[in-house]
Amino acid sequence: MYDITRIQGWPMPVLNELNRPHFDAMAEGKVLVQHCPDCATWLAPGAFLCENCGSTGVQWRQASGRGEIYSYVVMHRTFDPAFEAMVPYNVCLIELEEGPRLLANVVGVANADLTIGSPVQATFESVGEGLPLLKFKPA
Amino acid sequence: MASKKPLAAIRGFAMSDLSRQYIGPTWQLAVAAIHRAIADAGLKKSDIDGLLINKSPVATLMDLPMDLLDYAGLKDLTLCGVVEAEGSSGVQMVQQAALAVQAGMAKAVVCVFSDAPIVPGVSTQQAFGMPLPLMGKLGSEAPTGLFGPVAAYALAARRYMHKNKLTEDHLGAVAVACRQWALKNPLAMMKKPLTMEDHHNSPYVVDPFHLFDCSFPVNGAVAVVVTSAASAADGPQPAVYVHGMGQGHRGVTNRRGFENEIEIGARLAGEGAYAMAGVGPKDIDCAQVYDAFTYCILLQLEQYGFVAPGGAGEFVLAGQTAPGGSFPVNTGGGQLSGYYLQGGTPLSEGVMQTRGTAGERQVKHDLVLTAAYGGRMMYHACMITSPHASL
Repeated sequence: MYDITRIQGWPMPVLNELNRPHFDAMAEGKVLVQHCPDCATWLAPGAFLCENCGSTGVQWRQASGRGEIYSYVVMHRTFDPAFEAMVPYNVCLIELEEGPRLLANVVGVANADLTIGSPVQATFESVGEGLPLLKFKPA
Repeated sequence: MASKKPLAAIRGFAMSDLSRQYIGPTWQLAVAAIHRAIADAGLKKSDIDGLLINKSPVATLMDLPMDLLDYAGLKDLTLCGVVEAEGSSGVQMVQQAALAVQAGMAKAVVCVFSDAPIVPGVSTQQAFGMPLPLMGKLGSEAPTGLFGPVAAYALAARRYMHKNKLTEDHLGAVAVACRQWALKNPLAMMKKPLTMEDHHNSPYVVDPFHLFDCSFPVNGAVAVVVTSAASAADGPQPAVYVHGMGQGHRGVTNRRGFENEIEIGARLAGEGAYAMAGVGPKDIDCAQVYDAFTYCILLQLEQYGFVAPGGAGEFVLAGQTAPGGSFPVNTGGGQLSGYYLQGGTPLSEGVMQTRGTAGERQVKHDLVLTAAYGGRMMYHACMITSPHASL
């Protein structure tokens, strides 16, 4: 589990050994996920062990940043003041070409034009008072 | 059907008052339901030797503490605890009580769910507005703005709809069917007829969910008294025999090849309960399932084996789950149009239908499936009940 805090005015998970590398890598413009050296399975970040083979030797590894929209929603109400000016905004579940899925906002496309299966590419944008965050844009 | 003896039975059942207003703290609603359920069972407080408590995941142990037993005036219990399995706890409590009765640890176990999310100055949107941990240990929900169960479920519903080529008509049909049942239920909160057009015209909360795709939170409590089958047969109310119980907790895998939005633990829970009862989905007369959102009914119909995978949308659109349909579902209006008391909602309607006391909305009830889940359909528990002691 994780707690929620606010960094640069933006709601963020409290970082720990399981999720810190993924969020820290955003400042360097990298999509960092996990990879199992024993069975070569790519894993969504936050994994304590490899859910495929059980190995506890999972490593952080940079993904290509290419993927496609697996599912998406459009938020018509906000539950947090940081997002008030953005309503209606999208939240998408992106399936990276390596396999793991990540939640992110997709920018550079009208919400009405979002479709499952469309190709996207990682991009990084500052939110709040200057916090770099992973987003995706149409590829 | 194979000849099977029940595991245990529900001898007493009651609810507190239900309201969209604040009518008292959570523990007080719980005590009211407990006392009414004990009276309903024809028992005295001194007959009760077990208490299982289910608090809402958004409540704290201060709201519904272990010493609820003192507030309720219960003494010398041989079983007491809090069941913490999120929304599935409503059914899990009955399962644990049945096991305790079978093992001889207790003779009469009160199981109670209580919640008061509606308090002055806090909207239900705020009360349930936390991020759900969809991504396991990562916590990427909050920075993307994915807050609240509505968003988490809408994300799953979109994938399910895409996979099965469903439209908002299929979701709307679920809401309309539930409202039709609610109109027959004196306990239901939503008493205005609902059309497909009303559903589509209601504002989006989180697209693809309109307002009428979402359940209706209330303040209230549900309690049952679980005893042996023999004890329940001697009670003043028709016994609700528990013939099968199952759970399914599949785990979440966030990568290609695993569709957490379509394959859920309900399948495992159902298989366990059917095997225990010696029956199959075709033998079940009606189902009472957790329906926090319209999509949840569709997916559970498939996962519990009532409809082939991908077929639930057309099944509901054809009116099969509505009054007069071939397979009644959520006959009290469910959480969508009846009252959202988490696992307490299907539990309450499951008991009333099995007893045969559901009045105008009573359906054939030789075998009733009652199912509850927690998280975003991550933790599942179900049971098969009957008014018949042997199947």
